Amino acid sequence: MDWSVFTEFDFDVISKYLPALLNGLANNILLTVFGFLAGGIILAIPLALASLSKYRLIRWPTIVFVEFWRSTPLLVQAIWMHFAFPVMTGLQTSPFQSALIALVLNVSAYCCEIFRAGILGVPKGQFEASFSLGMTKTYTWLKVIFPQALKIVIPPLIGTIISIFKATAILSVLAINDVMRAAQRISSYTFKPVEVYTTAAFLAFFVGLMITLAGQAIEQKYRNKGGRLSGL
Amino acid sequence: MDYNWNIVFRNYELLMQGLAITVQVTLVSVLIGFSIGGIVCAARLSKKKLIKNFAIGYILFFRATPEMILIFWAYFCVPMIFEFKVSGFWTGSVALGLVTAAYLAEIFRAGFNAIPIGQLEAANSLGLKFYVKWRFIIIPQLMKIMIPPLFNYFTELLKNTSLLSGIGVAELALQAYLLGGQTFRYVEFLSAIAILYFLMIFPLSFISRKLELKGVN
Amino acid sequence: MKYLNRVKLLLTTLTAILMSVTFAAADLIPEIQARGVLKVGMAESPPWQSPNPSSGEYEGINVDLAQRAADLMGVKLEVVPATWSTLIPGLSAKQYDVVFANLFATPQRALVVNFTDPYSTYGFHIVVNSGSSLKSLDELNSSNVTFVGMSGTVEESYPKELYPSAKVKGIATNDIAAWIGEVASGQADAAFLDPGTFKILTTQNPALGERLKVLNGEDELVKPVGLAYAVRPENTHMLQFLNTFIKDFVRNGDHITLRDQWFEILAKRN
Repeated sequence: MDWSVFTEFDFDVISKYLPALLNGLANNILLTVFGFLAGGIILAIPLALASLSKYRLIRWPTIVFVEFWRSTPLLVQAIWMHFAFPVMTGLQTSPFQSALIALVLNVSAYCCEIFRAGILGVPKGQFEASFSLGMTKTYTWLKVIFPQALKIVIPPLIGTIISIFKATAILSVLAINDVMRAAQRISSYTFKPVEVYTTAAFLAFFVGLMITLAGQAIEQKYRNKGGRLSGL
Repeated sequence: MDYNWNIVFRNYELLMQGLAITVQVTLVSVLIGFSIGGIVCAARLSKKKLIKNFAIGYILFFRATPEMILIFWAYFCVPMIFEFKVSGFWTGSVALGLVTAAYLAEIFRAGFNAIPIGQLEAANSLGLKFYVKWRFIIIPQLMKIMIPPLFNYFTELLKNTSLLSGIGVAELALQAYLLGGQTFRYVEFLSAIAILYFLMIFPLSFISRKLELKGVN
Repeated sequence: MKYLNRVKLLLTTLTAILMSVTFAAADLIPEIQARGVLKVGMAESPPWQSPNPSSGEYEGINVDLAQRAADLMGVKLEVVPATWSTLIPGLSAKQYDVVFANLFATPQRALVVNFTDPYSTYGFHIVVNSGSSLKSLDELNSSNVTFVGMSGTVEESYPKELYPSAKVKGIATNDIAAWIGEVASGQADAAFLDPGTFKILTTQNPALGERLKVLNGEDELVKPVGLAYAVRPENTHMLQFLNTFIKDFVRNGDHITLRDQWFEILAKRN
């Protein structure tokens, strides 16, 4: 065992390049937030509704899309977005755009399933009861179904945030300025991979830890509130 | 926009080699995951605070850190520290195996916690031996509860094998990327492996969801 | 007759307009000058060109030279980042006007782009692990030897050319320290490494340098090749301009001065 790698750990290198690593990490976090909001919520809800549509023409393409984006690795999706898509359509997206698009589509497919389960999890009786009480379809959806679906949906949805964060590290293959890329660059300049990658790992773990703990706290809250048909 | 799908078939062998490596990585990770995962789960359920906290720390670390970073770190730093020659395949598979262990430990734990205590008490009061208890009561129920999340995780693991492309392991994703780069035929190769991954992963995902629904009923 | 003359006149005018339009489209230089910005595609490879890890700004030998070219044209410089795999396709896709990088003018690439005359040449050291039994270059041509290099680069393809019996491992990461680290830790047996990068390595991390052994000195570098810039095939005026530009600074010896200067900067940087 060559522990000299740790005893001679060059902290100067770390202190000099820490801002660069943190900058990269900030990009990971930004991507996570954007990916979650755009993919996990804005895109996922219409997708979920489309996948439950009674029109086969809407339902089937949606399901094919969702299944495909769920069953292929993000790495392949990102590379496909950046290398194959331009050849097919003539539109060359920048590395950041390709990474973002791949991430958002991937997340939307996952969260679509979560929302589907949420909507399907609301007892059918709710629909019937609402209609028999004379509520319109839109009102039913907005005031009765969605709040209940939300309770089912929120714990797994919060759980996906940490997955999204971890996924952003994968996008470094497209040379976007994230923590992995920053680590690679610094390592190329300083030739000290051990110091650089160890620091990067710790930083990423720290953020991941925060997200996980926060997520667990939120999930606990909802588990306590959930299970009851409140909110009517 | 002329596509040459033949090129995929001409390089069929390389792609199949990549597929084989992908499957091998998955298997190694699963084996390591099950063995270490079992130990970690036992530690997690232990009453001794030190052991329990160690397990919690392990699980937290390997579930919160991006796999990409773990794999890179393992590949580039472990040989420097441990000074032996180890291939990307093994460092990557072990890294994924350790992550798998963390997830499996949690799945096992959920499984154990879900077995009604009453059953164990009844079994004990009936004087059932260890082996019988496990084989006929605990394990069947564990299976029912654990199989959906297990299958679910396996799909994630299969997808994560693509990360080993970063450290030069010639699995499916790297093969396609290299072939695409050599021939500039990215569309053909990337689409081909997308389909291959889909064919491997979708069945697992589908079964997992069907089992989950069955379990609910 | 008058009618026919009119038609001829119309046709000639049309042809003249069309030709001037196509020629104008092909003459990149006025287009750049009208735009006010020279867009240069670059892939990361310190010290030739790469983003400074702290500031994020591109810097290096080719960035300085690109700035010079932009100044000559009277326009601003804009560096468009790319990866080694997307560098050439991006040029064809018109994401940038030219490629300034430590590009090796390989025949395969020349099918898609036009290369300028070489602006610099360098050869390679071959490094092995310091504990390795390999002592001379000839011993490398054996199946027991595994080379390592970044996939898609010449560090990966030249070993295949020069030492066909040896095995070659391609790494997909951009991190030089990563694949040189393979030789240093014994994961791979040998690698092609240029003298400048080797100097930077040994200065920045002497411990790492000690784990490596160089098989050939600076006086017997392997496979000296020319580095060149690339333009799209139709931009002939740009190509000529760049060639004149290159001839000029090569005559001054700037390519060597800048190169040594930047290698020094990166080696000393702490």
